[in-house]
Amino acid sequence: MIARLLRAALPPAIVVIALVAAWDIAVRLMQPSEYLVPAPLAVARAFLEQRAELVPAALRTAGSAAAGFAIAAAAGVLAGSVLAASRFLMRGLYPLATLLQMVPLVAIAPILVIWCGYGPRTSVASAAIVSVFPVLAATLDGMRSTDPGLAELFGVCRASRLQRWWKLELPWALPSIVTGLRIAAGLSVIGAIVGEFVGAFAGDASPIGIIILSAMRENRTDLVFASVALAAAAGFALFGLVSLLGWALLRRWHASAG
Amino acid sequence: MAAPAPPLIEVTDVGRTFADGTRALAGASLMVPAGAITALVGPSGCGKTTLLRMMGGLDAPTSGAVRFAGGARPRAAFAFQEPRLLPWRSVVSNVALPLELAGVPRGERRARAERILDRVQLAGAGRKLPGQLSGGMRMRASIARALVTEPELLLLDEPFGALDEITRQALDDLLLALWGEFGMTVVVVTHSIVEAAYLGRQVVVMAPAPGRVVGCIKPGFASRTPALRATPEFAASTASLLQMLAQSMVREKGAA
Repeated sequence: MIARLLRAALPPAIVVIALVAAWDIAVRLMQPSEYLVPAPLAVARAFLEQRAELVPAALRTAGSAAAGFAIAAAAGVLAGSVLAASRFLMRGLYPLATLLQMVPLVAIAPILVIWCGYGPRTSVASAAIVSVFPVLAATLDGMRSTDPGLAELFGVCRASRLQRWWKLELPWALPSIVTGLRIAAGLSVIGAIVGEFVGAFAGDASPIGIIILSAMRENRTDLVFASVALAAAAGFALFGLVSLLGWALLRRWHASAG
Repeated sequence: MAAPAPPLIEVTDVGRTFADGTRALAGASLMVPAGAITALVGPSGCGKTTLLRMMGGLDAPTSGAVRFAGGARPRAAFAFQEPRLLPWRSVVSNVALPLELAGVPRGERRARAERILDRVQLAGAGRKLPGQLSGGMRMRASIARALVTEPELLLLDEPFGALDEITRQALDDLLLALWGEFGMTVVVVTHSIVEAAYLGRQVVVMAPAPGRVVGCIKPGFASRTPALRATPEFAASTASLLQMLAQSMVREKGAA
């Protein structure tokens, strides 16, 4: 298990190290101004100097993203289930949901500030809005692909609607739902930071979005880079956590397919 | 031979036309004796599956009637051509599913599922997932799931059609043994003449376009053991079934 993880992690690790090395060499050769492209070591130094501020900030952002993701996961699975259960609702609401998905998040972010006020609530709402659609679509698709033979079996056994949902449609859709959740996990961090850009305030409890904005105003490009790396790490962690959870949930599926 | 058992199901002049205008059945009549095995045999499109589904309440005739002894539909269970097991559930919990859906308490349904798994020679496989079983084992699990509710009527829709010949014969013998033990009424749909003659106390021959009953034989074998398949009397039954099927084809061509 651990050996397999190491083997899986090795190629991307080599690629990352190679990219950072190339970046370092390019900066040494071309010597751009520190303002445009800081060297990797400068970014690392900025991170180490500001870590007391950066790490809690990243955790705050990750918290907003995780809360938004949790809301989106619950709402997406629930809404997808309801739409899958009713042809009428699906025909009526699904195009609308698709349309809402097309509205750029950045454009509605100010509305969220009006509704939710300045602070983490706007980030949570923003994260939830951007990640709900993939979960909804994945749930709907997964449930609608339920094996008709199994559906008939449940009919023969006189299963109730709720039994059919809980014991057949939901587990059947699980692989699809997990895929939707993984996409949503990555999106939720983006949503949280967009929410912070418009709706968070600088202060003792600044999230990473605010640090990025103020570092930019202070021409601290090294600090911007460090913050972005940390935000990416938060997204990666959330994605990894959801993937792990999905793997645990789908173990029986994989065992059965193998 | 014992006196003929009273019919459990009486199919009278049943017709079924689908929404697209296909006539799946036209004027089909037959009796299903209680406690016996009835085989419905015929080529694709002869309406045998539609008839079976009507007996289980999954479909309704557009004309004619399907009546049950005593007026009420007996407790029926289905097994289909595919095993239709939930891939994420262990074999024992798949077998217990009908009891679970009916609200039987956990301990009791486990015990009943394990008992029936033992009867289909899957006692050691209860904890496995369906994907870890062979095709024949999956089919036995599917039969076990149908039997776990102790149905009065077992409806089998080409249950062993997707299996190889050797596995199929073994499962035919298993089915006969289970029938001998539980004594339920069995209706089995098959496109295999040999299987129909081997299993059926009554074999109903059907023909397509439109689906109808063209004949019925009652093979009176003294015993049904694997050796029966090699006897001249078994060959005679399959020959008369084949002849009935061939005649129905000729008549069909003559009419066209």
